[in-house]
Amino acid sequence: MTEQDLQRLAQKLRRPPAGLAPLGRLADADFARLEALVDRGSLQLEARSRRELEHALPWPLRGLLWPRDER
Amino acid sequence: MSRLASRAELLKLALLTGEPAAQLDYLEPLPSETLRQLRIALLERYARQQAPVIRRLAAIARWLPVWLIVPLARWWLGPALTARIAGEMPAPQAAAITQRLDPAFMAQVAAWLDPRRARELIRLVSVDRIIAVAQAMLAQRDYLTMGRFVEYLSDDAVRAVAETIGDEGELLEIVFHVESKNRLDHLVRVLPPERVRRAILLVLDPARRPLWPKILSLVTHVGYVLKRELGDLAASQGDAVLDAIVQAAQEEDLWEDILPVVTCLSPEVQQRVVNLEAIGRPAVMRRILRAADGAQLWPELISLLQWMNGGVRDAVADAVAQLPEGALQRIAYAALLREQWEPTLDVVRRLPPAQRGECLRIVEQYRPHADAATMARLEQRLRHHRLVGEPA
Repeated sequence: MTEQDLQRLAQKLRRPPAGLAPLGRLADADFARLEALVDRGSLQLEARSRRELEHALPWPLRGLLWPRDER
Repeated sequence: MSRLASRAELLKLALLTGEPAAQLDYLEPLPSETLRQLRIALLERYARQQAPVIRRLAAIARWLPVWLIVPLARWWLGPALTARIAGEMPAPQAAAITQRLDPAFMAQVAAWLDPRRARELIRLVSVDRIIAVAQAMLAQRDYLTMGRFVEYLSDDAVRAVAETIGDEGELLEIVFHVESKNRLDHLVRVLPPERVRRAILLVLDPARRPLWPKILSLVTHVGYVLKRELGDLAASQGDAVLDAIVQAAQEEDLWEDILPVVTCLSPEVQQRVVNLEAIGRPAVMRRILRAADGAQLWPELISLLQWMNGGVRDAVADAVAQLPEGALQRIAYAALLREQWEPTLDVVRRLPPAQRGECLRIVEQYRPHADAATMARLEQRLRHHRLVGEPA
């Protein structure tokens, strides 16, 4: 794992790289697994948020409260 | 660093990401605080999703009467969205809504609520309501969410909820998930001492095997004074309890958590623990020393040597002989730091000749750096143990 790898992950998580320094102990393969987990977890949570709002807001309200450019 | 705290964090991370906890094992060696940062970062990322529309919904909700919001939340928004909108509403209004919501639904909302951002709301919810929601969480066995919230509750609320929980095992499950371990002392003090005693004695019940790590987590994460109190309490129940704790630490591979606890106990109890028959078993001693070497716990282990009888020191010497290269250097440095040469050299004299020689070479390396008085004491102890000859 390189310094750039850690910085990339810190950027994704919006955390200072110093706070994530212990991740440097992970083997390269484990760091890659963790990064994949973060990507997958983020996508799932984003999809969940979108799904919940789409379910909660019927189309007239959706257009009013949730403009297309914010979706 | 605590393996147990990391395990508790991994369970939360697994729940948030939908990943099976067993597949996150590779993260267990990381400090729990790093894992917590990971989880909170993901949670905040979720909270940022579609934030403007959530704020708009919260702004509308502010103008609606409580009697209308309650069914809307329950049947239209669902628990996760309700939690997010509640986080954007004035706490008094959100608290008024919680008084009307069904406790089972509230329990689901709580699973999605970030307690750090809902302190004010939690403070405003009545104790009766908190008890009702806690009961709903217990029915779902959602100890994880209870553990996340417990540190934000008032002492009265904690006491009242604990009174409604009949089983100490459930208390342990909740305490296992408390995030700020520095609050644990206070929480334990809030509970009646008899319940804490009964919780520790669960280690004797083979039927409660899954609770072992939680019992160890309790004694591991409290402060120094309480560690000593709980350890002495466990020891006062007889060797059967100490043996069960040793077995739990061994089977769960938790010696790096337990060793620092042993050093906090009263000297008499330390002596009893380190001379337990189970501790002297080769497999147990090997694991203890491996934990001491891996987690830089040699100062703790060295301070325990003084209480060990000859048989246990033999077991230590056998296990030291199987440690990886460099371990002798680390042991010697800990002996130097703790000025514990006497029991350390008594173990050294039990080592195979090659390792005894290695130890003497290490001691020689200290000569230019250590002060004269330390070296004189050291040489005297080396002669006493016949590790070097008398000066000519």
